[in-house]
Amino acid sequence: MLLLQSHSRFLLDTLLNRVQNVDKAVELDNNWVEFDDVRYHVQVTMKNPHIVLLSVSLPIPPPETIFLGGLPFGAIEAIKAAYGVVVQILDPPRDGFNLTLKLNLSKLPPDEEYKHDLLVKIASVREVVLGAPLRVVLKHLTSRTVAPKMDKLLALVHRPKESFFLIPRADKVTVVFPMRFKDSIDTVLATSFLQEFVEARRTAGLNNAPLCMWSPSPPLELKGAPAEALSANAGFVTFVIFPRHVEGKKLDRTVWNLSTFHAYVSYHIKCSEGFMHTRMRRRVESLIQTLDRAKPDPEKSNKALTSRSFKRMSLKDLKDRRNNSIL
Amino acid sequence: MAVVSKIQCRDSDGVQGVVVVVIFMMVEGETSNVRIREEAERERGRTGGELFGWGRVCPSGEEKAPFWRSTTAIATVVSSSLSAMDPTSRPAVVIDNGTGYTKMGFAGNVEPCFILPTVVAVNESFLNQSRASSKANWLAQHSAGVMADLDFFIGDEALMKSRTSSIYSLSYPIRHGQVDNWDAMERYWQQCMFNYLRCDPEDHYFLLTESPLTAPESREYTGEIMFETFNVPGLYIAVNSVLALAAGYTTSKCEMTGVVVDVGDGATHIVPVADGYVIGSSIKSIPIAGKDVTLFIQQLMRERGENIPPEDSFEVARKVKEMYCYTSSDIVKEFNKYDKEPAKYIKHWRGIKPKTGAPYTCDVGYERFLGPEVFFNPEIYSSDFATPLPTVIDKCIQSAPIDTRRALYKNIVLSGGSTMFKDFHRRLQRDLKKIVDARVLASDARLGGEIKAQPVEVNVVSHPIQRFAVWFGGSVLASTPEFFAACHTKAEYEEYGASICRTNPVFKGMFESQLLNMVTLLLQVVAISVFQVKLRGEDEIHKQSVLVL
Repeated sequence: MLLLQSHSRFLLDTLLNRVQNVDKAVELDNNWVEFDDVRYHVQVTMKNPHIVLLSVSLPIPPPETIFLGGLPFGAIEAIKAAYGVVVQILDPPRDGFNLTLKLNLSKLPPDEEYKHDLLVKIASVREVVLGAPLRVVLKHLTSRTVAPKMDKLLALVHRPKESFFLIPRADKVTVVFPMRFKDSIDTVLATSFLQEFVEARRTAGLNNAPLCMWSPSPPLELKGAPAEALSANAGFVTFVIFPRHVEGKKLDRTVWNLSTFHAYVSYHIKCSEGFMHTRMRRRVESLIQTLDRAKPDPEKSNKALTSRSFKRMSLKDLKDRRNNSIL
Repeated sequence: MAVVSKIQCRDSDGVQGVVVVVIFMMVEGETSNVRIREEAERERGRTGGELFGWGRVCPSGEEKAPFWRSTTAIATVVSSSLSAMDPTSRPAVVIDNGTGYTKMGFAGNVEPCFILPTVVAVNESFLNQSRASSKANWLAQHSAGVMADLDFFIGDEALMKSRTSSIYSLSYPIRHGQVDNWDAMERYWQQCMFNYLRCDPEDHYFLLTESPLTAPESREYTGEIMFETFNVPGLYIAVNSVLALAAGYTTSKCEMTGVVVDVGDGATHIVPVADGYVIGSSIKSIPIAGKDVTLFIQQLMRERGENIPPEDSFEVARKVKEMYCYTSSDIVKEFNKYDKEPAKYIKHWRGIKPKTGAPYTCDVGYERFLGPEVFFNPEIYSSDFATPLPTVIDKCIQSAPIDTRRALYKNIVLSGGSTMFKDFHRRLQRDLKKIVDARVLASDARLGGEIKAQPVEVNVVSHPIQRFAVWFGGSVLASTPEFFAACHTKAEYEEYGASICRTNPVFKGMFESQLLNMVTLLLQVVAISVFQVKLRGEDEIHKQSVLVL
């Protein structure tokens, strides 16, 4: 698995399971958390087995991002556009969550394939909600215009208290990610990983990929961003997105890949750490083998001599012994 | 000593995740208000939040309790939104790796998110290639290694891949309940976290399980992988039989004494537990488990000459076991029933040949009840081991301390997928009762009827969540606030190394931990009642916190 999928596997499983056994009433009440602190809650009651309540909580936004009523801008429109009549937004949302959706399974389209697609779309609710502002900006890029009031630096939340930045222009959108890691080893690996990543962009096969740059200090585009947003221990990654990257069906993939870029990098760092461990384990095994070969053989005969079974002493023996030692 | 309780609530702006921390601590000696203030400030500095209030905590009639004179409890309320990103505010991840299936999910839920076969399909072609090629071709070798690193599948996907293409080879990381292949295990965990649960391991505490006979070295290894590769903030490795007992704890009654009969796919353990502590010397394990049932069914079907493609026969046997097998009360009667009415009892299995895609059918006959019979009459399967499961359970209880035996007979808990056969618990209870009654009768006869022994109550408990009882117990345990305190943390790991994972508290004495619990509980109860008064009329956030308390 090279890329992260946009739908939550467990949510999709739950929904498919519900759709298949819609007549069988079950009580469902599940909580779970995804990367970047996106929390989900699914509830189905015995009374209304065809109603699924899905609540989502988003990462805490840093002060520089724009949130309207607990959601990123454009999210409500995006939900309505993506799901239509199947989904109803409940206001206020469930306590502790940013958004609660009421799914009516009886309103799902009858066509099997279309139904499955819609369920996958519902399972990728995270992409729809968190990616909404990015989608608005990139949509305007396809028509080579800039959305009104969005021509300057734009901050979008992608991790709790962390944001990435967009600089929208009519012909291109520049995306800058400040990369932060908690662990010191992760930071080192990430720094070299990102340099390799930029290097890989230069190979011949990837001529059409977005431009990609890495720098240890904040790039000039980020002038005017708040100071705490500009401290990143693994440098800054910049992508330049041109209209050709967001044409037609590419838009969805671009939005998802950009909004989970940090998760992608941290996933691959964990993979490479695992890979290094595997190599280390192999190396240790081979070294131990070499050491074993160097062991002298006579050890075996020694063992045969010393491995006598113990003589079990009775209490009387012990007493005799003690007496002897006193004497 | 300071007791910290964290309460998560929303602040007035509706931003979720503000954590109010109430710190109770004991201060030795005479305390002036200045001193309390200092202590409170220091605590605030430690948690890095905002100080809301502090006060002296004492029981209502101050003169009555001399205990409080020399020491004063003070309480501080610190609100810190920074702690909202603390991993303890998120549910812990519970992963129960079994030989056959892995159960994983988040603490606090009633069922696991995923139940997957514990199997990894690795693409070996890269590996062999890189070894064969010369050293000069370093780059190709390197990229092959990188690709092999990512090109693998787990669970059902792995089984599917290995069936459709020949470049993937299956590897089972756990054998007989013990981790056998650490590389595969590490990859399995990686996929569990990133592809299935999709959680960031840095954000969650983890609860893993182990069999009671796991070596400390293997526990160390687990800790090393979890802390080094995945950077988990905290880890708890629980003994699966204790968790299985804890699962029954919430559904019926508060009983932490019992025998856990854990029949998994690769290992069968009989573990006596008294008051939550494992009686290590009495653990029995037998070499017959779910996989042996599958092998036995496979053998029976092969000997009868059923038309099953050989490469699929193990999988078919497993499916037959899971779908059609049940426990009989008497084999002879069962044989007669089948011979009289074959149409009623003999089932049919339909499958598709994996290579050609042609459909085939086969009959499922006596193996329906002969499979589970392996546990009660092992001699039909192997000549090496011939002690039936009820006898082993009886021996296990007889070897436990004498004052626990009656309680152990009373609460025999089943766990693991291979106890799911219909009527398994009835058969087990009947056979065990027979052994126990015979012993009671013999002792009565020996005493010549002068003293009558009290009849021994034998009770085999079965519950609907038996298949993932261990996971459920883990979920219950990990959702208690005490869990986070019991975990090994990343800081501890960095300070002391992997050796912190060696010991498991359930094998240790119970004295120290319980004493500490009692003291903290007492302190909290007293402190909270007084603290409510101190806080009245303050900011709204305080009220909320007290309400939650």
